[in-house]
Amino acid sequence: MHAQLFSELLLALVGNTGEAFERRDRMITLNEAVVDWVPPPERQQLNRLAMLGAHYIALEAFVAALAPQGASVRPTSLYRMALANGISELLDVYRAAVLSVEAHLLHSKVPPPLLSMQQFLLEFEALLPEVADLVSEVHGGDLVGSQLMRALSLRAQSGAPALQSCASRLLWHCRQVLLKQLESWLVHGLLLDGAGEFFIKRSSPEGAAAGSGRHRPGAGDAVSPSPLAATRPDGTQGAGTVLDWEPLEWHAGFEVSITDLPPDVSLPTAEAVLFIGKAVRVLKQPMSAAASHQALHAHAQILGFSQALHRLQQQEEFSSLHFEHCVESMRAKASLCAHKTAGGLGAVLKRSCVQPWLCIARHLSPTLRPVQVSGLLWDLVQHRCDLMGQFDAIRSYFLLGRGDFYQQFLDESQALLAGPPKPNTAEADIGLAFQQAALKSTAEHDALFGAGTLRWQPADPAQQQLEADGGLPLWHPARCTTAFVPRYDAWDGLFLECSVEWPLQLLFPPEVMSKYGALWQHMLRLRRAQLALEGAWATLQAFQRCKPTDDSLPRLPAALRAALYQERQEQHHFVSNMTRYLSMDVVESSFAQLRSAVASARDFSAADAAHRLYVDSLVSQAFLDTRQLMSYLEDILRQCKELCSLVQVRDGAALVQVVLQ
Amino acid sequence: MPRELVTLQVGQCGNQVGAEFWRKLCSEHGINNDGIVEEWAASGATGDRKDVFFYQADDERYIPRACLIDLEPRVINGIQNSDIRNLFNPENVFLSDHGGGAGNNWASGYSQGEGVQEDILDMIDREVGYSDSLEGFTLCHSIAGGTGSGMGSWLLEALNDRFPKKLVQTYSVFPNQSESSDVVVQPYNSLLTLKRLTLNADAVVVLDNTALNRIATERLHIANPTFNQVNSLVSTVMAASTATLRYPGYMNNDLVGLLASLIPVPQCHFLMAGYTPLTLDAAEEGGGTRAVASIVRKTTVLDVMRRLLQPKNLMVSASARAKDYDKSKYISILNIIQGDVDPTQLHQSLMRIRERKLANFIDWGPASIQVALSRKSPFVKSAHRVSGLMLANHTSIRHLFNRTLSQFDKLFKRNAFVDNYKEFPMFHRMVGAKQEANLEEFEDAREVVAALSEEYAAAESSDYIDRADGSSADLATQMVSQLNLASGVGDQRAPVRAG
Repeated sequence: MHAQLFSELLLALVGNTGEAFERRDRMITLNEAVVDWVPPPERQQLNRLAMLGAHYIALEAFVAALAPQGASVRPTSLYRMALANGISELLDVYRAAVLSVEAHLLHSKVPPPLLSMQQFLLEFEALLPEVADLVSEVHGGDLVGSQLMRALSLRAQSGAPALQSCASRLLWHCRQVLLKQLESWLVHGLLLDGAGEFFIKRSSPEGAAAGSGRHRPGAGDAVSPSPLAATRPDGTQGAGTVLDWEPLEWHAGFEVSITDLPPDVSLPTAEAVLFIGKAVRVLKQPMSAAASHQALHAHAQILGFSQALHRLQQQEEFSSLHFEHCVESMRAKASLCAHKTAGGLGAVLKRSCVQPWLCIARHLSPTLRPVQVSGLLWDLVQHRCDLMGQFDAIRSYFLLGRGDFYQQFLDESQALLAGPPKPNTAEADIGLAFQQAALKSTAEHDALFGAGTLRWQPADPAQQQLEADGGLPLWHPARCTTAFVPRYDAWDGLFLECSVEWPLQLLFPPEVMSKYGALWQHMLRLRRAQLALEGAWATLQAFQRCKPTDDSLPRLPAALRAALYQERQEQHHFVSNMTRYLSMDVVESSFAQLRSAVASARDFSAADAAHRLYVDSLVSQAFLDTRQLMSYLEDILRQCKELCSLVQVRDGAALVQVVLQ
Repeated sequence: MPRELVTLQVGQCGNQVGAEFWRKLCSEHGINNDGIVEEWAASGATGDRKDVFFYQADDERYIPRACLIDLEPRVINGIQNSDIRNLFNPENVFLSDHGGGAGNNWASGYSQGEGVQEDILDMIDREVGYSDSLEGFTLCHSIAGGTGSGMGSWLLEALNDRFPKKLVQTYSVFPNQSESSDVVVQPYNSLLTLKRLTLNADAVVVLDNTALNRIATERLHIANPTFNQVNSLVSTVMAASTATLRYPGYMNNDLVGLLASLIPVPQCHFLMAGYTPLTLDAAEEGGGTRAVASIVRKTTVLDVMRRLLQPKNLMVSASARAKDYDKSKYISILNIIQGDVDPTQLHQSLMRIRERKLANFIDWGPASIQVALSRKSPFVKSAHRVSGLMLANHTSIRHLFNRTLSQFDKLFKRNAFVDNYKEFPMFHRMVGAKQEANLEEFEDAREVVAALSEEYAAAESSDYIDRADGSSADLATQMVSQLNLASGVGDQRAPVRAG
C-alpha cells in the first residue's frame, strides 16, 4: 500500500479531499482515474473509510451554521445549538481518533494493513452515519425543541452501546437547555424561550377566545402574541423576560403545549410545572403591604427550588422519574421553613440515586397532591386577603343574601323597571338606583360592595350581534352554556359585574363568574316576581279597605275577587317558596359546606376545587341546567307578571273589564 | 330610612306594651336608655337596621319612630319618669288637656280623637316626614278600654283616609273574657273596635289577655302575673315579628313580604301569635322580681316548630280554640325562627311536621308552613339556641269574635249602659231639639263582625272559593252595574303600593 495514499486518506477523513479522493454529491470516493492500482476489495474498504469524511463535512457544516454569529433575523433554536455543541464534542473525539491513526502510521515503519486502520475508526463507522442521518433529519424536518429531543431519545434507545451512549450524550446537551428553561420558569416565573420551544407557552388571546388552534409550535415566529411581545427590547429576547404580571394571566395567560412536550415529561408533570410557574409569578408579584411579608417568605422558598434543579442538572443520566419527583416535591407541601425543605429535597434526591425506582415509586403521587407552592398561595389568599369575606360578599350580592339591599334596590328602580329600558340610558339609570340602594341599606358599610357594578346590555337580538363580535366579556352569564335562566321581561339584559381584588381573582375565573352571573339573574328575576306579587297584594288590600260608600273606586264582584285572591296567593306561594328553597336549602346549606371545606383546606388546589364544587352544586340545585323545568318556570313567571299588571291597572273599571275578558 | 314603620301607641295598655317594646328593641340593637349606641355595639358592622324603627337626631341619638297618645297622663308620665324618659321625642307625646281619660267609653275616646285630630295628625305627619319611604303604621292598643279602643278606632279610620296606600298593622290586646271585668261595657267597646280592625287594618295580631295570663301562670309559673310581665310577653312577640325587618336576610325584609303570605283573603287578617321558648328577663322589668323562666331545654328547629303548633303556646285563649278544634284549619302559618339554625335542619323539620300532619291546613288554597330565618341580636344573651315565633291565620279565631258577639248581644238586648254612648254625636241624632238614641253604629258593627266570623267559618270548608264563584251566575249583570257605577268617576287615584 502506498504511504502517500494513507496521508490522502487521513486528510479525506477530516473532510479535505486531495487528488486521490474526490467529493461527489455527498460522498467521498477514491478517484479511480488517479489511483488505478488498488485492487477492488481494497478500493471498497477505502471508499468505506472515506465515507466518514463525507459525514464529517456534513456535521461540521451543521455545527458551523449554528455557531453564534450576531443578531440573526429569526431566533435560533436553543436546542439545535445544544445539539451542535454535542456534535462538535463528538467531532473533537473523532478528530482525536484520526490523529491517533496518523500517529500510529508515523510510528510504524511498514504501512499497516488497511484493516487495522479500519479497526481504529470502527466505532465512528457506526456513529457518524447515524449522527449525520440525524442531522439531515433535523434539517429536513426542520426539527426543533421537543421534536429534536424525541428524535434523540429514539436513538438513545438503540441497542448498540456506542450509539446509545452517543445519543444519550447529545440528549444530555439538549436537556441542559430544558433544565435552564425550567429553572427560569420555576424559580423566576420567566419564559426563557426565544424560539418557542418550551412546553409552556403564553396562550394567545385570540386563540383562547375563538378556540382556534394556537400558532404553530416550533415555527420560530410569533413567539408570544401577547402584548409582551411588542414590548421586548429586541427580537432576540425571549418573551416574558420582563416579569410583567397581568391580572388575567392566571386563568388564561399560559398553557401547556402538548406538541412541545419533551419525551420524558408527562402531561400531569407539565401541568404541575405550569402551576408552579404561574404561582411563582403570583408570589413574586409586587403586592400590597399586607402580603409583602408573605412574598419574602415565599421568595426564600422558591430559591430552594433552584438548588433542587441544579442537583438535577448535575446528574449525567436524566431520569424522568427523578424529574417528576422533583417537580412534585416543589409542589409538595412541606414545612414552610425554606432551608429545611431544600435539605429534605436534597436528601430525597440523594437517596433516589441509590435506589431510584423504589424511592421514587414511593414518592410519586397523583397529580392533585397537596403542594408546596399551592400551600404558599393558599396562605396568601386565605390569611392575607380574607377569602371567606370575599365568598360572603359574593353570596350577599350575587346570591341576594343581602336581602334588604335588593329590597331597597328594587324599590328604587321600581318605576324604572316597570317601563321598557331606554337603550341609551338604561345602564346609567339602573346603575344610579343600584348605588342609591346601597346608601340606604346595610350595604352602605360594606367595603366589598364597591366591587360589584350593575350592567345592562340589550337582550337577545343585540346580544347575538355582540356575540358575533366576540364582545361579550368572558365572565358574562350568557357565556355559561350549561345554565338556562328563565326570561322575565325587557330588563333581562341586566347582569352584575364584579371585579375581585387581586390575588383572589385566582379563585374566581371567568367560567365560575359566569355561573354566578346566571344564578344572580335567576334569583333577581324570581325576587322581582315575588315583589310584584306582594305589590299586587297591597293593591288588593287597599281595594278592600276603601270605604264601601266611596264610589271613586268600583268594587269587584265577590266571585272575581275571590278568584283573584286565590290566584295571587297560589302564585305568591309558589314563587316565595321557590325563593326560599333557593336561599335556605340551596345557598345556605351549600355555603355551610363551602365554609367547612375552606376551613379544612390546606392548599390552594383543594380550596379551588371546593369552590368550583360549590358553584356547580348551586347551579344544579337551582335546576338551571334543566332546560325543560326552567321553561315551565318561565311560563309561571310570565303568568305572575300578567296577574300583577292586571291588578295594577290604574282604573278600577278597566280592571273589571280586563278580568272579564 | 327604607321601609320605615311608625309605631302609634294609644291608651294605657298600648303605651305600656309600647314602652316594653322599645326597651326590647334598644337592648337588641345595643342602644342605651338615652338613645345612644353603646360603645360595645358601635364597633363593627352588626348588619342590623336600626333605621326601620329609629331615626337619628342631629346629635346621632336614636329616636324611636313612635307617637305616644293617651287621654290620661298616668302611664305616659310613668314612662317620662322612668329610665327611658330621654328616649322618646317629647314632641311625639300627646296627652289630652283635661287629662280625664275616656272613662272606658269607646264613644268618648272616638269623639275625643276627632276633636284633637289636628294635633295628632300633625304629629303623625311630622313623623312620616322623617321617613324616606314609609311602609306603614303599627298600632298598639287594647280593644276593651276607652282610649285604646275608641281613639284607636278613630285613628285607624283617619290613617286610612290620610294614607290610603300605607299598611296598617295592629297589635291588639283582647280583654280577658273568662273573668268578669271591671269594665262592664267591654263587649261594646270590643265590638265597635273590631269593626274598625276588620275594615281599616291590614293585619291584626291578636293578643288575648286570657291566654297571656294563662301562659304566664302555666308556662312561666308565675302565680299572679303583673302587667309588666304580661307586657313583656307582648313585647317579645312584637320584637320577634319584626326581627326579619331589623336583621335582614334573604327575604321577608319588609312588612308586605311578611303579611302577603299570611293573608290570602283581605278580610281574614286576624293573626294568632305563639312564641317559644318563653323567658322573662328580670333585668328588663326593673321591678326587682327574680328572673323567671321556663326550664331551659334543648332547642332544635323541629322542637321549636312543634311547640309552636301546640295550642298552649298560642297567645289566643284556648277556650276559644277548643271548640270545633278539629274542624278549624290553618289558612297560613309563618314561623320566624331566630338563632343558630342549620338550614338543612329546616327542611327536615318541615318534612317531619308534614308527615305527622301536625298542622291542619285549608283545602282551597296553597298552604304550608312558611319559614323566615332571622339572626338573633348579638347583644342579648339567651339561654336558648333557637327561638321561634309563629304568626298564624287560623279559622278558630272566629270563636273569639263569636264570644264577643254573644256578650254584646246579652248587654245590648237589655240596652244596658247604652246611655253612656248616647251622649256622643255618633250615637244620637237630633230630632227637632230632642236627642234621640241612634244605635245603628252598634248594629252595623255587629253585622261586620258577624260577617267576619262567617267568612272564617266559610274558609274552613273546601268549597270556599267555589262558593264565591257560585254567585257568578249572573256575573254579567253584576259587571254591568259595576261598570255603570264606575263610569261616572274620573278619579284616577290608584291604590297601588307606595314606591
